Amino acid sequence: MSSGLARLAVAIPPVAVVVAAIAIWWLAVRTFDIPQYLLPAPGAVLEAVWSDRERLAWAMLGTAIGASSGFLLAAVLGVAIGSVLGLSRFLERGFYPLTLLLQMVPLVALAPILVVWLGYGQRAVIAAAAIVALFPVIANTLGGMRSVDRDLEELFTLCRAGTLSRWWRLRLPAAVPSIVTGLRIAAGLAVIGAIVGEFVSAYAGDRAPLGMVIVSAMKEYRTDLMFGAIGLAAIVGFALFGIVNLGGWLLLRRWHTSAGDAG
Amino acid sequence: MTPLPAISTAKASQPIGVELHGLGRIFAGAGEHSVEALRAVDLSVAPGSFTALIGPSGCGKTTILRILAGLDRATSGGVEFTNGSSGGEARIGYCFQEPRLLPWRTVGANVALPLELAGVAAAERRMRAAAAVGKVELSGFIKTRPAALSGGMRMRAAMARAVVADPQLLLLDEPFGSLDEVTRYRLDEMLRELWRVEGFTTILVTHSIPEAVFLAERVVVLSPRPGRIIGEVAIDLAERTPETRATDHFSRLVQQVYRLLLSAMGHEP
Repeated sequence: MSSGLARLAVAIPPVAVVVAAIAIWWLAVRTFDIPQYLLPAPGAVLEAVWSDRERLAWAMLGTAIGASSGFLLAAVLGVAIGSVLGLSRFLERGFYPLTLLLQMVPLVALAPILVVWLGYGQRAVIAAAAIVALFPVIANTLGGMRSVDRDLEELFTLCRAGTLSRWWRLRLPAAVPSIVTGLRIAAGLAVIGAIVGEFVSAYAGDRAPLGMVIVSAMKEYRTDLMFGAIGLAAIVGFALFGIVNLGGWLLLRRWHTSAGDAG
Repeated sequence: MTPLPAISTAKASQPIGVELHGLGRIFAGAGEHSVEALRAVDLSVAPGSFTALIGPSGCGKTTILRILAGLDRATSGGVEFTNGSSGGEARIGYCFQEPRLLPWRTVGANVALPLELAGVAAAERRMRAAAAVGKVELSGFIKTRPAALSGGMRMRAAMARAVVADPQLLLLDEPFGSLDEVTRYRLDEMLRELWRVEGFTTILVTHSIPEAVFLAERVVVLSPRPGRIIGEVAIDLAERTPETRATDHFSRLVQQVYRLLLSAMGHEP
């Protein structure tokens, strides 16, 4: 099988599942005569998106900017914090429990405080996205640095490597696959954080982001528009996840070349 | 921070000798589960010589190398390096059982690692790494990452890394144990030639009697745990070529080591 056909074969199962789910959705609405305000048919959702396309495009862009800015902030801070904590067990024991707070405090409760601190608008949205996305990056960076192959650690001991040298030349690069995994998780979470942030901190109007579109559509019982906005938010999440995946693949592909290539 | 070893830019001109005095190692365990790996090992290795250590599994061969490299500590006895550079630390190269290459680095960058950690300037370490890679016939793969190499090529890269800092003492812990016979023969010949040209003192741990006989000038046989030296065989082969392994004299030496190993394990001839 050629590589093009092989890739096509990989894409078939998820596409088939999505098509089947949409078909079941459409059939359920038709068969049980479900009111549109409860569950609109797929066609109605598409229609709502098309008729409000300009507003939704701006909304999608606003959410994408908020989520990706929050993600970038979380990525930089998370890798920095995780790798510094990976320098010593003392630092890890002292500060890691504090980072758990990021995971334990519900964002919905935290979002209004962010608005008080940062005001309405994009800054609070970015902060909300970053807070949700930060913990998996820290945890995976630290986990990756802690799970370095002991044999390689021994090689560095043999070469009498110092702590900083060992950190920079061994632990940080060895943690890259784990960091990429953390970033993949963070990409999805950043969109969730951005939408929650938008619920409480964003502004209404023509350029309102998806979170606000969902809130205003809810007040108008425009379930079709809510579904459309949710679908677009998912597309933002997929796009961010795809970019991280591509970056990870580009970074790691040469590590994973088949060992048998050279005979 | 641990001080970095002094690696001079000059080639090692003076291989060192090794003296083991009553070396013992007990691995502490819970209650009565401590394991005595070595007991009162006395061994003298001349500068520039090639010595092979052979013995049954668990007899402490690798432990001797690890103690010499500073990766482990003796419970009793001690190690002395002779003819070492005055005031400086001994330069020791170590080749593990596995290549232990950093997957994100190219062959050249992996080989240069000991120099990099010792603070050698980039231009010099590139030059020296290229020379070491050339010695193990991997020049065409200097920019290749380990994942794209075969097992034998990875081991050769690990060998180049072990010799890049011009060691005075090279410790080899079954470096070719996981390779197929043909590749192993070829690497044995390459290693022997490397030793002949470079002249570093070499101690090889192996399970293979033919390999020990082919490579070394002297094969030291250890008893089952706790490891003690029970005898040695001087290898008086005039030269080592691929044909050497097919000679009667080579076979006789292999048999001699084998008989010594059998007696070490309690089988009387």
